[in-house]
Amino acid sequence: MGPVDYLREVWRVAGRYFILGCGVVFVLAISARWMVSPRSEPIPELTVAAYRTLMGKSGLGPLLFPLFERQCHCHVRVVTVPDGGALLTRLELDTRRGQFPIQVVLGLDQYLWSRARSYLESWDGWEPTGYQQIDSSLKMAPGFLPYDYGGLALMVDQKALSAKGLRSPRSVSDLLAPEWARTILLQDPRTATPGLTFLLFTYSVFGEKTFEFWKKLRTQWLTLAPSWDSSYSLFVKGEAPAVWSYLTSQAYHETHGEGARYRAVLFDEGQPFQVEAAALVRGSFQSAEQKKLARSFLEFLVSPEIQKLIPHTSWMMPVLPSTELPPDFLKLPQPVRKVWPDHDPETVRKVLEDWRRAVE
Amino acid sequence: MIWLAAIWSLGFWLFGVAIPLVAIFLEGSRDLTLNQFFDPVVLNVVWVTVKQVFWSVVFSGIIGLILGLCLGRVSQWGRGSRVLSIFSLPMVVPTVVAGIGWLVWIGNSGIFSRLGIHLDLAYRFEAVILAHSFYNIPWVALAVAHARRLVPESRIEALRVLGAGRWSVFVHGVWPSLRWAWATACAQVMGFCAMSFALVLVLGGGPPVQTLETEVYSRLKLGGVDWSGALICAFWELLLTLIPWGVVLFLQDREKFKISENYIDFHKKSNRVGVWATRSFLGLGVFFLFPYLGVFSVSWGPVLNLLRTPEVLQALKFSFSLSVWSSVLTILTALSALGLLFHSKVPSGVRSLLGFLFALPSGVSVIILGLGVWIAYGRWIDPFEGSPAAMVLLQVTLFFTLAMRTLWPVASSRDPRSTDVALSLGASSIRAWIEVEWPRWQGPVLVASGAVFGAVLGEVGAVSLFASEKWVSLPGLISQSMQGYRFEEAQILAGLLLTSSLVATLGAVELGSRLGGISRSP
Repeated sequence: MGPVDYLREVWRVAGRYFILGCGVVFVLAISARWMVSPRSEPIPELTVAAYRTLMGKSGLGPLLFPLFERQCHCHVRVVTVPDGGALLTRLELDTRRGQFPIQVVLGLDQYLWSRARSYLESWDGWEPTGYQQIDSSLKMAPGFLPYDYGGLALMVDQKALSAKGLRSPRSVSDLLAPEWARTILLQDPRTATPGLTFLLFTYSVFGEKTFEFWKKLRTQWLTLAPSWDSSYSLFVKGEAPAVWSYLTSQAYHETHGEGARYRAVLFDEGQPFQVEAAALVRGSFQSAEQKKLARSFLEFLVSPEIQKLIPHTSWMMPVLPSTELPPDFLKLPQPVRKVWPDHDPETVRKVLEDWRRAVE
Repeated sequence: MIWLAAIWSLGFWLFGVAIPLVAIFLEGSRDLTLNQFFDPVVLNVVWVTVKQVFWSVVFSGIIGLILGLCLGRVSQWGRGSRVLSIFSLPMVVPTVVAGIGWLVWIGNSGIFSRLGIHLDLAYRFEAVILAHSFYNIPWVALAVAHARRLVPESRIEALRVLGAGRWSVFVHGVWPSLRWAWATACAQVMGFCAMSFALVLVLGGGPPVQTLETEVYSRLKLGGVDWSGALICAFWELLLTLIPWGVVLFLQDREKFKISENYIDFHKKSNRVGVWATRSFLGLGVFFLFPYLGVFSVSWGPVLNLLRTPEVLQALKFSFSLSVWSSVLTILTALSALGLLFHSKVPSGVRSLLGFLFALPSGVSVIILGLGVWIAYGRWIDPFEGSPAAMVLLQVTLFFTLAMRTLWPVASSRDPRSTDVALSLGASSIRAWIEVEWPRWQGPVLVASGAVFGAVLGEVGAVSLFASEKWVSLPGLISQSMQGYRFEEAQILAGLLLTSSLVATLGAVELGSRLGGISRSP
């Protein structure tokens, strides 16, 4: 049988499946079109990496980037990653691949930044306009441009607390009281920055006794969630009366008319703080113009125009002290003390390792 | 044809499995020491995983066996096939949806709690066992039921005539025909539970309740990737998932178990149970879906508005497209692999080796495999730009063994005599295949496609590793809603995801049953 006969035979036999075959090809073609259609975006001149929440419907990103584009007459391409940790992973992988398509990273906190330093540019003597006005406690080193910050606190559901006959804790140690067993929602410090901040906060409070504290705390948490959002969703569902979150969560509930029910609790030991910053990626600039554009973006971030948007988009505090705060933010309780946990990468690694042994 | 099958299936194995695994091994082995394999922290996770797997398999195995024996009597053509369809649905319920669904019932603010029944079961080891058992009992029951249907009535009758009691009939007449189906299903349950991720994260309450898969995740999260630590966990995970599978295959091979003899008997059954028994089994099938229906307990006002938004429509279209491509390619790959495995010219030694190689993806963590793809193809695929091609590749790798095992009985029960007859009557090889073989394949292929389609729709790992703003799937949208404080929206989307998975699978299984039936691995 020659090849032509062979094909003819295939055609003759498969003829009855022709319509079915056409159907399958049609579905595949439509699917392919749906999968590739979003590719028609223009090529940007400045690429910024940010975590996904920042680009969410009510996040800062949808306001920030169009405003900047209008000002600079340029295109900003935003690459989103699932969370802050993935920003560091992104930088690591880009360095490994030897490709640097991203010029600016947005959303590194002090812990991630200290581990990402080798991938980031220091400013080489340049200083963004507005940098001087930023509170010095928020500055780490040149190259790290804080754009928002916030304290972390235990958020409690007053209604659930009274139903259980509980009183708000005043100290971290109060969380070990038997009546608090299986009532607290925490985040896994290995996978969520608020969880890591809580661990490092306890380390700054208890020192070497931290891991004894955590061994006892094992019976107290209801769940150690993989991310802040999963723990907070359980909290608002009413799964537990307390969750480790941001002080500004109270402002969020205040805005939504639930301020009396959801309150932040302050500890006598103070509250840990987290700073979010933007940084330039080392080796990513194709030209001096691109670098200039990236620098102007950093300056734009700390401009009064953007800073006033921070509270109700990122639900964090603006870094410019002159920014007028909305009323719900003015009502936030003031921490007894601001705690800046140690963010040295080696300390963080060791604390996490010891925590793992204590808890697992 | 055999060359085409060989190139396709081995090419897939090389590019989808081998190269990513080698890439990640080279990356992780740089600072790997033998002591790290026996680090108490890792061994503790291995121990918790083994304990969790053991109890999950005990409950799923025993209850599934009993249920399968009863189901085997009801699952005939016609009414019974609907029972089979319902029982095949739980396996495609997305695990994220399952986790949310369980919390709606057993959570501290759940339905039971509101009814005054305080179980205090959520966020515990027991909750994970319960969820895993519920997930896997129907799977085991289906496998047992299929095997039970293949037991020749003549054998049972002969034993009864010889005076055997119920127990003797079971031990000597039924058990030998279904033990491997049961053992294989249990081995698959072991693999599923050892690699369980979302259910453990949602219901386990965090460390110390975790699996090797969640440990891999924690070692690769928050930047500063711990490659060697993740690799060690992946090694233990592979060991836990492949050992039971290997043992079953080895013993099965030694006993020269052949499904082909029985498979011919497949179509000869008649109904043995009444309408009420069938309805009871339908009810039981729905009972195993019940926990997941909790996601529908939302206020329905915003549902329609949400479903009309461009984001949701885009995510639906993208998830649908991904599922179409992944399921078509998965089936093609599985068919190629089976064609190669069961080809008469392939020596038995090579066949065993190929069988092992093709089983390998079922024991590899999706996170490990995904990162392997990152490292291996990073020059061409930018993971953060999003890559539907990489998602499809990963999903084909993930679900390939599911499809292969589903189609295995059809491949192994091939009767070459019919084809020979067709050939000797003058049919070409293609015509002979289409006339003789395809009618046996079409039903199972459709069933397998439906199962893969439903499973891909709710798959989270591969899509989250290669997602971007441009390509957001339905599970991705759920996670975005949760991050943005929109928790009710997340639950509505979970309901939409569950409905899509169930409808797709149910449609394919029903149609497949009409065309030629469901078959399972031996």
